[in-house]
Amino acid sequence: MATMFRFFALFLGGASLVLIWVTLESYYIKRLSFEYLMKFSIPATLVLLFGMVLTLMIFVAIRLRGMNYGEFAKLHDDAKPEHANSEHANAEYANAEYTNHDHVKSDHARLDSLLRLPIHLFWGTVAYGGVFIPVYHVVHYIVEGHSITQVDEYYRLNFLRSFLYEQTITLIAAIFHFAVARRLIRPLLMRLEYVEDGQRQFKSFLSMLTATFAGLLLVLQFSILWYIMVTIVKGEPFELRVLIGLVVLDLLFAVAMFILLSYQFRKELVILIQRIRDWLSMEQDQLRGHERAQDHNDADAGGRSTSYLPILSNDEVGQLALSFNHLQARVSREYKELEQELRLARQVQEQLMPQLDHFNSNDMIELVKEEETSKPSVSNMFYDIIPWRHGYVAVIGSSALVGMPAALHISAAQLLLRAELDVVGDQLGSLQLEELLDQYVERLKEMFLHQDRVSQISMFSQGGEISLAMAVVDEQQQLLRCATLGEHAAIWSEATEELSHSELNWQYGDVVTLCANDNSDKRTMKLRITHGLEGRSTNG
Amino acid sequence: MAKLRTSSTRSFLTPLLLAFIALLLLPVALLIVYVWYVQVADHNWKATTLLLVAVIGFFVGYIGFLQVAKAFRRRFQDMIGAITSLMKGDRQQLKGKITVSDSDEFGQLGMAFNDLQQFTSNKYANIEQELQLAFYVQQSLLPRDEYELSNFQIAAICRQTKDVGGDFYDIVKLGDHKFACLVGDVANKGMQAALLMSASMSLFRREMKLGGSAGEILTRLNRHLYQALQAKIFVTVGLAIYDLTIDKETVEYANAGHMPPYLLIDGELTDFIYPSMPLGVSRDSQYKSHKIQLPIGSRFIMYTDGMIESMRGDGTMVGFEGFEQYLLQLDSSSEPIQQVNHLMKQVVPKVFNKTEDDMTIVMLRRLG
Repeated sequence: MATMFRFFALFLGGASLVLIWVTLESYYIKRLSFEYLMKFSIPATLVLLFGMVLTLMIFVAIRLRGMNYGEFAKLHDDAKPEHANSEHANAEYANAEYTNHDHVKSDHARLDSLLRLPIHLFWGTVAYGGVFIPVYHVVHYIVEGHSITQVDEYYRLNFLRSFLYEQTITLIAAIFHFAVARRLIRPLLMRLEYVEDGQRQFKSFLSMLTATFAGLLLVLQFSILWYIMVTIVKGEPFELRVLIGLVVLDLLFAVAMFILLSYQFRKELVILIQRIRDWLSMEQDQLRGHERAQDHNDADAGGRSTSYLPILSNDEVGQLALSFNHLQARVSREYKELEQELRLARQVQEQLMPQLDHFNSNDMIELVKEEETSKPSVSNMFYDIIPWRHGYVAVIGSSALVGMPAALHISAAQLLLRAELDVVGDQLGSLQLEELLDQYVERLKEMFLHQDRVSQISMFSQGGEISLAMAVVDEQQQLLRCATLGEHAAIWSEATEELSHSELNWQYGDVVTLCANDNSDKRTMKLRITHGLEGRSTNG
Repeated sequence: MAKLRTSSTRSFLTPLLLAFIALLLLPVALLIVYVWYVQVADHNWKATTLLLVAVIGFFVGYIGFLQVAKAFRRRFQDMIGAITSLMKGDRQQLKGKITVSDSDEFGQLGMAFNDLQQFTSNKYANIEQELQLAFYVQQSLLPRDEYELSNFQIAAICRQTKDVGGDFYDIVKLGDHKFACLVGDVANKGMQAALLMSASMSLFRREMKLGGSAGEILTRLNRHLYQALQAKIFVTVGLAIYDLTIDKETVEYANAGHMPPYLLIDGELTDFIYPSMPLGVSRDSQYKSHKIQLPIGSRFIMYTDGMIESMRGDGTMVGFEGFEQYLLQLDSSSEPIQQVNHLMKQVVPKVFNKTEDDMTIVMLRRLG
């Protein structure tokens, strides 16, 4: 109802504008008396304008059917916090406003219908004038007792003059309807959910802008010309002050009309700017909160919300918003794909590590996984259980790098270690583990520092060292030998005694924990091995 | 809602409105001047002259305002064009900025847009930096692109579509007269492929050191990769080993599900199709070595499927026929590195296309 009332007020305004203008024209330019005008002109014009208001109202009612402005307004008010003066509250409000689309269907037809409403009202007004202004003059002519089969020269000229002048006034009213309707549908457009729909056909505002200019200029010129013509026809004295008065009045009116229209462009641009700024400040607030809660150093590709600008018109303003939205959608898609890639890479990493419940041993091996984060990221740690003839080798390792470089590093490190142990084979029982690890780490470095590579940046120049904790379990000899490499890996016995480069009898119930940290010591991964408990489980 | 903070109160409305008033006044002034002239000179009115003055005034004003309105529309169009052009590139270009040349609403919108782009850049700086580093790490795994080993000139290019990828090549010098050359492709693209690319390369280098024929090396490599991948992801490779001390005329080649290599001799092209399983599919796959004759001046070309599957500007795929045509058109007198660069330029789509595959090509030319 509120929308309908606003449109009613608009058409009433348009009708008043026409009435006042034609009355003033008749009074000052045609020099007709008020009494004469009251006989036919003013009542007939009132009837015509009433018809226009009614026609346009019916048209708007049909077009806006199902679009409840009140509901939109309520949503808008509900979303507004009571203490809206704080920046945070404003951000929340902005958030609520952008996301409160539950009641609003994403309806392309509705968007199209709304966007075209102002231009349809424009043409509706012009067409109404085009049809009924001649009807008015014909009826007027008949009412005055003339025959329409024998029209005299004066009335023919007068008819043409009046038609042109009044049609131009109607054009101005149409522009008025267009400009204000554009403003009235804005709240509805701003709450429509944006749906990416590829290419939309836009019209240029150029024709409307130039039509406004042409219409207003014609009113000015016609006013002057008609005044001169009337003075000539009626033989009345030409008064310059009346002419200047007409020009000034017309000019003021023209400026007001032009401001009304061009202000809509400005307002729409400001809304777009405001939307971006509000969204930015909301995102910055969220990011600050996020940083307080989580590790800032973590690689983050998650949680990107997307800001879309409302399509406020069917011209360049709408086109600008749409191109912005397309860009935002592309950026959003890119980062979602990146997230997905990180997830897939993480899956590959997990695939490279063995399932502990498939491992054939009497010992129980439990994995205490690294601290999980909500963000999709690849791990810079790995574990492995590699069987050998007399038992198994349990390994846990971490790279000093983070994210994807670390993932590249440890996947190579893990597979290379497996290959090394595969070659060593049965000799593992008699080999010094420290020597094995030293040899292994040298090989690993060789792999990443290609002899002929001219390059420049290697992961080792970025501090990419590997840390490793390794336990070789000899189930035949009931022996566990262990070794560590690097600063971020350790092995602990149950009695919290750190074991390094040592050998211990592996008795029933004994427990050792292999532990690796990442460089910041914020994430850890542990393999807890318990002798002879006949169980295999993961725990994380 | 927070009030919009603006650095300036300047609005595009002011010049637009001034132009509007000026162009409105001009025809009116013409009419009034004419009226004044008639009054002062006490001439008779001439309806045609009056109308002519009005029409001329109208068109002068209208054309003038049309230019002003077009300039106003250009402001929008420039901004729309600038934003749209950002979408034509890759992820880095998506975060690009637009030129802000004024402080009115368009300038403010441009600044707000640029701030948003900057925010996006900052927000993802960590992951971008990480991907950049991953790219460097992966590049540092690859050997340089030009070699002269034994009696061969070797040139290679590896072009990843994303930041990191699954294509790789390796050239390993094994003494003064022996070298190995490998081209590989991990199924999938991006990060997941890159993880296995680095692992495959490190395993390959290790296996090369342990020695054996090309077939034996691939057989061992397959076993390691199968244990890790359990047939869930596979890797295709082609491996060529040349040893001048054993046979000066031939190269030993083994294939694991990889694209057939080409031999180019005096404008004639021969492909070598050796059906075989990719690495990581079956634990017990055995790979055979094949001898390929390489006469002096001949060129041996190994590549990945991205070269074949690349889409041309007209939407058609390069395909084997297209690729063979490109190979035959190469200038045999130019250096191999120039030839592979030229080939890559022809195959790579002119328009950015994120669905394309990684592309790698290695060319060996026998000198003597």
